[in-house]
Amino acid sequence: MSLQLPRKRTILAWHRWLGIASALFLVVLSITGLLLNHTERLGLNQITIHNGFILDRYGMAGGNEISAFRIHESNTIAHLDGQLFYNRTALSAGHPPLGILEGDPITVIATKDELLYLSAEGELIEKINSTQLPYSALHAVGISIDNQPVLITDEGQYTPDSDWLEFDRYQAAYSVEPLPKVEIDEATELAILEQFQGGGVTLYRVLLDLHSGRLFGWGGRTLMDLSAIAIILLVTSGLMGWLRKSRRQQTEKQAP
Amino acid sequence: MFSQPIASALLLACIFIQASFSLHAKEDIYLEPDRFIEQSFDELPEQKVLWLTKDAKAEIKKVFGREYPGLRIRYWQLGKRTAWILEEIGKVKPITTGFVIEENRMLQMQVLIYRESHGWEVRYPFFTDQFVGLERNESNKLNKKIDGISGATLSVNALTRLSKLALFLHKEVTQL
Repeated sequence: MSLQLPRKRTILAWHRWLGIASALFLVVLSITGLLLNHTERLGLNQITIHNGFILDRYGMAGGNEISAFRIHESNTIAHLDGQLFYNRTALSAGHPPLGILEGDPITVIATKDELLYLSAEGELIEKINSTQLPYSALHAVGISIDNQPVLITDEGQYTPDSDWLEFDRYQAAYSVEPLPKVEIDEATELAILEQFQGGGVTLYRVLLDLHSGRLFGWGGRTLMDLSAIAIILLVTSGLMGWLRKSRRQQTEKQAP
Repeated sequence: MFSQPIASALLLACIFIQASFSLHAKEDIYLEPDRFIEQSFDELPEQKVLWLTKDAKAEIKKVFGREYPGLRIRYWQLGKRTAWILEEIGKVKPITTGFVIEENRMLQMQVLIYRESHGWEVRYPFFTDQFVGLERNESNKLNKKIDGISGATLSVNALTRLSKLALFLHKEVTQL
């Protein structure tokens, strides 16, 4: 019993379209694979990339505007793309501040889902996230009539104790004042952006992620997987085409 | 003649890539920290804070292997028993873990919130049960060897170091 092969035209059509569809990805795979094989010789780890698109893919572009707020008289809390800075120093990941409550010894930066406790020198004392808070989302920070901080949330209003450890429900009157933004000088802005981006991304990392498709998330990875499958199918259809041709030649030779 | 299939392939690629941009890492909450504290004591414990002095921070660096962020750590105490909720990064995201300690011996270790994409096996009792009865000696060694899990090495290391830290912190607050 011999293997029944598909018709030559069908094999050729599949082979052609698969080749066209996967050509670009196969070229990318080959070139990046070749370069990665010679990482040390080419010094790929020493070359850093600062291109906006690439940094954006790694969440390092910092393309949004820096918003800054006054803290401790002459210092600033700045926010850039999910990162908070005390003056020029990275403080913590977080949302933009909704309120800054200065006290002794604790100054509190209240964001949508976290409270950051700072010392008078701007050192992080403690970071309290939503799993430790009595609410899920903060809307604003107010001040009660007796000058106590009031946290206005989805679940109602809360006031903290003097150590900011426990929170009690609050139902009396309060006032809310928006947190004013301040301007920061260009040098500080540049220093923050530099801190945010670190040293950039190495060419090795970019090539590795391009090779695996990870540079474009799971979609890119799936496309690279499909390209790998395409190679297997191209080899199979190529062999099938060749088998069919050689069988026909044999039959023609055997015919009288 | 070739333009239509090529255009289709490119369109498919764009859809895949565009869809992948909107994906975010998930956060698995196995047990709310409040519930963990409630379950760790017979009565409602007192919430306290340990302020970290310069010396304490230096000691922590030795025990933990790196600086622990912040200047104070909160804990819960009832009698000789303390409970701690500490965080350490496994690979890229912090693992929130609860520890219950009594007389310098660990009674319980539980992963409360896990945010990494790999290594979540560390939440299961076959792993966490190893921490029951754990003690730390003066040379920062544990009295038991913690068996690892292949594919979860970084999470296992993070939890082992956190347990050393919890045992150290317990000793600090109960010695006072």
